Amino acid sequence: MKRIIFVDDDPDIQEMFKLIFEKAGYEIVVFPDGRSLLKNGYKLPDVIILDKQLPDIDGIDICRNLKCNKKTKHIPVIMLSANPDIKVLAANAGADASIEKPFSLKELRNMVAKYAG
Amino acid sequence: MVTNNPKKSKMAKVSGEDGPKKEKNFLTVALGASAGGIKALSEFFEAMPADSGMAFVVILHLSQTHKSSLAEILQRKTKMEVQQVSKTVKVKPNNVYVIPPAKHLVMTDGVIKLKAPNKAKGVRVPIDKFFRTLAEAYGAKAVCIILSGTGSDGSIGMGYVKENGGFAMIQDPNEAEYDGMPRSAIDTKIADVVMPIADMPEKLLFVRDTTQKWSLADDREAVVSSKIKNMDSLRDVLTLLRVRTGHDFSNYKRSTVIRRVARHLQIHETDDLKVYLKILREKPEEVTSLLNNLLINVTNFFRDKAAFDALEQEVIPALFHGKTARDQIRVWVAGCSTGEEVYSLSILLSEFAATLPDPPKIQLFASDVDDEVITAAREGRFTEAAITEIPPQRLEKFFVKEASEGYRISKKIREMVLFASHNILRDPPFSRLDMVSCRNVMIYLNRETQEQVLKIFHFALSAKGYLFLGTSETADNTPKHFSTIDKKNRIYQVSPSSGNWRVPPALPLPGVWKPALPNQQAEIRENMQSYGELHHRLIEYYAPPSLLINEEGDIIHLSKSVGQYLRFAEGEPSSNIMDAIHPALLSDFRAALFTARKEKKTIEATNIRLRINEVEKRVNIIVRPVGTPEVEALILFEENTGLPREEPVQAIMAGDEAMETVLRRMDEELRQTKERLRNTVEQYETSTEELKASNEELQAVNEELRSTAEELETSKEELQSLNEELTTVNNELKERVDEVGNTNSDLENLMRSTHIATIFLDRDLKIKRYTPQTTDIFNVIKSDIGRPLSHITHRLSPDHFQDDAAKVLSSLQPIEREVHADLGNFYLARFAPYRTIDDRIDGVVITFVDVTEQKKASQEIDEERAYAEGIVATLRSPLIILNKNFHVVSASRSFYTTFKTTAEETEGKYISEIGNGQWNIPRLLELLETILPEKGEFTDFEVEHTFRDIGHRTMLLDAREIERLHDSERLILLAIEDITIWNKLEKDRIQTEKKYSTIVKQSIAGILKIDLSGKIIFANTKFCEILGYNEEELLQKNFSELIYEDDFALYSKKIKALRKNSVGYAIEKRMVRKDGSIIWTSNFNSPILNDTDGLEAVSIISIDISQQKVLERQKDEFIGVASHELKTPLTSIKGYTELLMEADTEGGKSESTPLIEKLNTQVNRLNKLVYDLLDTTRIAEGKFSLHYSTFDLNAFIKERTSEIQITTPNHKLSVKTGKIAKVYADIERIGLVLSNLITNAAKFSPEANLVVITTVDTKKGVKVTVRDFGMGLATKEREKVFERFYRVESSGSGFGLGLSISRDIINLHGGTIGVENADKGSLFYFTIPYKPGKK
Repeated sequence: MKRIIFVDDDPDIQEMFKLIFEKAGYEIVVFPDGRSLLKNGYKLPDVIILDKQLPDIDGIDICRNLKCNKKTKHIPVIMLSANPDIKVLAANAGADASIEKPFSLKELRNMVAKYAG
Repeated sequence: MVTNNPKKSKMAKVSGEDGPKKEKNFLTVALGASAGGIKALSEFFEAMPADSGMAFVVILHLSQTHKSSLAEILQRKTKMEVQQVSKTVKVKPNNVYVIPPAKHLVMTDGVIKLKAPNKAKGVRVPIDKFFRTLAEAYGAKAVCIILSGTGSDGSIGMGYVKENGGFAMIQDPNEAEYDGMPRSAIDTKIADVVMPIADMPEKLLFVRDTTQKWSLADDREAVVSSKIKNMDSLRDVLTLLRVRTGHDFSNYKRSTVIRRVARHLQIHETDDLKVYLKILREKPEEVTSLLNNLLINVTNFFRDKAAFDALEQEVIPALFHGKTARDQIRVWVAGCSTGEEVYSLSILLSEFAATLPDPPKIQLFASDVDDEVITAAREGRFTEAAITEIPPQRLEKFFVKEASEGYRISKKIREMVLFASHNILRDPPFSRLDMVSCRNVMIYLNRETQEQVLKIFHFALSAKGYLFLGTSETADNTPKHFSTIDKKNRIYQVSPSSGNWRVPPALPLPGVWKPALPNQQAEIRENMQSYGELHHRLIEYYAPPSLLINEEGDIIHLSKSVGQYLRFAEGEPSSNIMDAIHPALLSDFRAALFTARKEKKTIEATNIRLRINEVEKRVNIIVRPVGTPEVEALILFEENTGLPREEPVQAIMAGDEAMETVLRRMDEELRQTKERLRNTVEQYETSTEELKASNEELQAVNEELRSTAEELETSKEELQSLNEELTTVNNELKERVDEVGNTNSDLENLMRSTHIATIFLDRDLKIKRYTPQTTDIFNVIKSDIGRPLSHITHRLSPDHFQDDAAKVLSSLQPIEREVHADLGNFYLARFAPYRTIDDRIDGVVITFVDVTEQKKASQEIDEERAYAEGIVATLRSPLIILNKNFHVVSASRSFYTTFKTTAEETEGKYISEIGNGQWNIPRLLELLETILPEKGEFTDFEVEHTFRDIGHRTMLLDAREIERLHDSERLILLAIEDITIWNKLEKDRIQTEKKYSTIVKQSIAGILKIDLSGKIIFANTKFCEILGYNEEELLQKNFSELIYEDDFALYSKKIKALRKNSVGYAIEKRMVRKDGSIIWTSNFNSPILNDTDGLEAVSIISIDISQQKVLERQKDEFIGVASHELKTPLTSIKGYTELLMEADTEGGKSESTPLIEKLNTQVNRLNKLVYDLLDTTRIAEGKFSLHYSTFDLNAFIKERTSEIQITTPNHKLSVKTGKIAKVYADIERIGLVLSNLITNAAKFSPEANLVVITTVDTKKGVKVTVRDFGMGLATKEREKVFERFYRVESSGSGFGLGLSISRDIINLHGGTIGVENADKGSLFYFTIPYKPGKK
């Protein structure tokens, strides 16, 4: 079962992602903020979906961090943000892809399917 | 005399100052020589001082074909400059001029000219030619010297020199190697001195001094005579001459006499006439010498014009009188010299003949004892000088201008004259002449000889013939023979009464007497066996004595005993019967022979009385013509042995009868005598005619012989001159061989001592010779000579020797090449063709000059120069380099640009002429001329001047003399600084400062100036206000103290960059006010640079933007809301809506399905609105950036259109793509524009159902059009449709941001967007370039 780690502080969106991906047969682990992600040990996922605007740490920095870490740098990271410049910001931080909010489900599914394999 | 003196001396002075005369006032010495001449000339010039003040011209018989090195040979002997005359050259004193081969020299008016000799004819007489022209040009200032040589060249020329008052010297023939020329010249008896060469210089110097002192070159008598002591003795001299020689010179031109006598004073080196008179008295030969000198006379055309005029008018017509074409006019010119006289006469004669209808033939004979002049006369060539007396019309008619120079007598005139070498005193004269002209010949003869000559002329002339003599000659001493026609002009005529004395003087007859010895012959022939002959001989004993004669009357055979009737007279024996017959028989015999010849029958002369050996006999002579060619007649002598017919006894016996008998006998005798007389007369007349005929024949033969002799003479002369040439050439060759020997040893030494490696190659590039130095470079040894160069190894590179040498041989152009040796030495290899003396190429010479040092030095110099030039070129202030005369040598580039001029207008011009005198600044010139020479430089000299091209300027001038080490010419460096602008700026600055200080003070922006340490050095009021400090407080502060600590790092980073790059920057930073509060400022910091472009200070313009920052933050917050707070819930809504739709779809359509779909549509619309709003904000803030990529626009449009088609079901979207290239653009934003336009089009044409999208190539980019078929837009709407928040009235919905964003996107791409009304509906379009420009 493919594993997705989703980092976002919005409970509604967390719920929505769970609805979308559990139904599609993914295992989805949700972290509400950056610190919790970085603090807790976790089983390495097949893809990480990372919201930019988090309450504690900028998602961009988290992405950079992940991509610097030997253990995690191979894991695809999809950045998520309402910022229209996310494409550039994500690319600069080493993210594999980005989706601007709001997005269509089709777009999201295709993206995750592409990186989670 | 005394009263005249001042005037004359003044005149003399004036003439002395006369330029050309003064210049010519030196002696010109011409030296003529032939065989043996080189030695003589060398000797002469060795002895001659180099500062004699005389000019020397050497005329030598040179080979026609060989080059002469005479000049070089002579140059070694004298310090004077020796030059071979190769072109017209001006004669200067203390110079030696040498004749070139195969040329003649002539002297005209101070210059020597070259003339080609006439090769075709005659003997070459270059010496004569030059002497003559020298004499004519220089007169008394000419000196001629004749040196060793064969032949007689120079003698005639010397005559001219003497006649024109020059001085003549001859080398002692005993000393001369060849004495021909000296002796020939001595024979003329007119030379001044004959002396060894060693004595000549001293003599020349004396002649020079006295010629000047006595002013011999001056024509005026008084000037000459006043300088010689005891001038009054001249009368005694002339008296002595008259007494001794009979020549009276008292009527001669006095100045001429003085000048000639003066020459003799020079000969005897005295300046006292009395001394000379003593010499004259003591030495008879001196009298002759002086006489000869006085008598020198040279012929000329129409010499003594008056005499010729008289001749033309009085004599010539008389000569033609009564003559017709059958007759002949014969004229003899005795002593014709070079022909001028005889040609003058021919001209007169032919002129007169031309006026006659039936002119007689004209024959002139011209004779002279001198073969050379005859040769010259025959040629009939005359120089310009010689023909000056001839009137132009005659010149044109009777002379032909020669191609070279001078004139030649016309052929017609020439053919009238027969020239012969002839001595009046020795050779038989011409005869039957109508006129004899003998001018200036008899003056040389003594009185007796003169008489003799006149007799000869008398004989030669026919009756009434004319005699024409020279002005100082006369025929008065033979008044019987000649009567005077014109005493003054010396024209005489044969006296009519003088016929009896017309016997030719002793005229030697040709022919040799052969003694006839018949008796001996008879004895010898005794043994003859012919009976016939024996018979004849025997008969002779009984026959009377007889003899045989031939037609000439010569006895050809004698019988025995005929001798008694013959007798030989004294003098030359003759075999002619007329001479040999006994005189008593002669008259009868002659008569008989005559009759016999005439009647061709035997004639007998009887009873001729004759006494032989005291016995009186009577003889009958029988003349019997024989008629054979050899024998004309047999003459028999019959002794009348019978009784005499006359009986003298009877006369005694008988008286009257006897008387009668006697009378009868006497009558008979008288009759016989008369008969004989008649015969004799007849006979005499006949023989006279015969004699005349034979005389003419003899003359003709004589003339032929003469012309043959002439030819022989010419050949002989030619041979002689050839011989001379050979001798000369031989001498020259000898010298040449010595010279070659010397040169060779010189060359050897040179080769040995030179430090230049040199290789001589032959035509096959084999080594001929090399210098020892060569071995340093080439591995060559002696035995390599003859080997090709290519076989020799060397230490040089690059190795092009073989090719270069071959190239030089083929092109004959020298090649220079730099090569370097393996030890680091540089050589200049020079390849030059090897030219032999006769300019033939016979190989190549390669020299290697070690130029290592020079090369280094030259490199250094080049670098130095490049350095200096670089400096000059870089200088901004104009720079001129002047030479010492203030002419521009060069100027810097900035000079030309500053003063708008060019190098052509500037270089080489005087400073004040540059650019049409715009540099004509008096003060500057004064500075250059006065201060510079004193001080060597001046600086900061300020000049105000209005320039033509650039207007009024103020300049600062610096000038400096440049010391030059090697070049003596000083250069001046003039630097010009245009300070006009600075002056103006200074003024402006003060003004501006005034103007702007107020502004600065009152500016709403804070203005601040800090130094590099950050210390505040200026702050305006506003800045004080911003920070709440007063000015004094601020000036104590460092700027960095005022910066809020969080922004300090940014500031220091930026200011560091400014210090480094001197580039200003903008910065927003927080600052701390005096009261501790923090404000935001927007600053622009810019560098303030000093004169050397170094950073001096920083200016800061500062505005308090705290208010603005608040607004900005609020806006940011708004965008934050818009982007995040709005979008985040939207994301949830959209996500859940879609999930809802999915769930709804899964369970099949229900009632809620359309509601959910509407919800989704509205969510999407909201989504888009948020996007547009964000984009608008971002565009306004300039934060909107494009993400370029290259893509296929047509494909993209099709794809996007099909997507939009889904949401616009009411319209058909039709795409018509043109052929376009790929575009480089932001694909998402272009997509946004496209969907904005399409959805707009659909929205505003609800009544239509079609939207057409096209793409067109516009070369630079693509034009995309979107057309609808709605109602279109009003003009007012079209203008506003792209404005933000504008909404078309008719439309129902939307913020009106779509078209505004589209416009901004297209603008950011560098394209255009617009709308136009179509037929029906609107046509929206946009263009984007294939490659966007920078925005």
